[in-house]
Amino acid sequence: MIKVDHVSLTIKKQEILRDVSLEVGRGEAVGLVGGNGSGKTMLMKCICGIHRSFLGEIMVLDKRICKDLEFPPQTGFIIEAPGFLPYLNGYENLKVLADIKKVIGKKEIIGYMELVGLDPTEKKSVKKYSLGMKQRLGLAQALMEHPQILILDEPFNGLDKHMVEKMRKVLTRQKQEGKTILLASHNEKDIEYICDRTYVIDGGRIISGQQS
Amino acid sequence: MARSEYVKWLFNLRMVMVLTILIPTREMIIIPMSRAAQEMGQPLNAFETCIAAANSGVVLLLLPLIYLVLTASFPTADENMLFYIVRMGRKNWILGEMLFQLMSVLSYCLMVVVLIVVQTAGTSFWANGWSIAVTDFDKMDYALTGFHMGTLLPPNLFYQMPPYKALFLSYFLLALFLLFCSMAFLWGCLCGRKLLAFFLVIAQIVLGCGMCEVKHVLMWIFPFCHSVLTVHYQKYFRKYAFPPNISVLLFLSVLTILAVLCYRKAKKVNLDMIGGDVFL
Repeated sequence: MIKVDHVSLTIKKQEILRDVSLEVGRGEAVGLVGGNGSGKTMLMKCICGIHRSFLGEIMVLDKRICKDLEFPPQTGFIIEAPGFLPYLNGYENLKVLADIKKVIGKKEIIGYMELVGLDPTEKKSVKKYSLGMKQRLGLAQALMEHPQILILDEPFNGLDKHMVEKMRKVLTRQKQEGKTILLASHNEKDIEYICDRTYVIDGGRIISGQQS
Repeated sequence: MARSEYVKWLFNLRMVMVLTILIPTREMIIIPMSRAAQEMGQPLNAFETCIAAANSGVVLLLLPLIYLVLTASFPTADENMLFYIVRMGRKNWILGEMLFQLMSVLSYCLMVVVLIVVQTAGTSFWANGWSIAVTDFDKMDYALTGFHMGTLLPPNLFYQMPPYKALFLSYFLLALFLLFCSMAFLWGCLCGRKLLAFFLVIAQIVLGCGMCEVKHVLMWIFPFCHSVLTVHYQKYFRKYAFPPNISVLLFLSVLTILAVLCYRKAKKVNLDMIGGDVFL
């Protein structure tokens, strides 16, 4: 499903990724663990086609990213803190995004907002949202168009204990439905709960890959 | 996409800077012209102050500088933008950015015109004819007004065309110039040189303005001079120093080249490297 083959990335003479290789199979949930600046986010940006100047090859659904395709197909993602148009409410923000591809309608948007514990009828604009609410809206954005692949960088940031528990269950159910998940987190408990395997990344290198 | 960028631009706190245009236009154009008109006992045409602003060196220097400050944080590439770009593709994104630039330039020019016109609207007349205060500037007592009306609205402009045409052409050239500046800035951003691009664009504006003020022979190599309508004409009817049609063609050619460069560059750019604000 996702194959990262000998990917290296240097920005301003600084090595960000060094010969990274990993694979995520169909329906598999794989964790990416590493400290700040270890290269997790940059690796995810490369997989998502946001950052292109890497060496090596990234294949998603048998297509080469940045060569055959600009962005990976059927992929939902959150990378770093999700931002939204501050003057619109949560529903309106998702509607604007959904209107680009037009693969889902009002019903699905409302369904996914409820799934992540947000009230679709809430009139409050996103600028008044807490960090946790924005994070949940980001998760709804990633899930709403029924992607086959989810690339999630620290999706539980800013969530309270109760919400983390709820979001873990949401992602576990996505995995059970056959979605492929690549999840980066500081918190090893999140990874253990959701993922089948874990890669540990440090200093831009994969230092271990194991079964959870 | 373009709408999202436009709304962000329009409701940006920095937009209050547009109001700073009021101070130099009022001090350097509106007050002197209104005083001169009062001395002559003749009302001004509602658009004459506007036309003077778009043909005066110092005010015309400020207009692109303020516009650049207003757009210094664009193109945005925050996470919200990434959600859009991934869904719509890079080609649509860059076309949206160009459309946003066109919309912001047109809105900015409209804001400038409105801000200047409202200041004299109550005391001026609305017609497609120059006021006597402007056309008979040589009858005015220089010692009384302390300035020469001809320096603000040069005779080589009102000898050539009626005020509506002068207004349209002045702001059309200004809009093309602003679009040139913003497209050059966009290309710099896509090349990962946002700060450098910002200062290079400012440098060409300042140098162009200086060249234009001293009427140096090299002034036509600077796009700034092509945006000043009055320097295109001589005093004699339809005698050009440089045909304005050629300036428009030059602008359109350069803009087409910049659009193609931006379009090609956008396909390869690292989207996480183009965001950020020049001033932060």
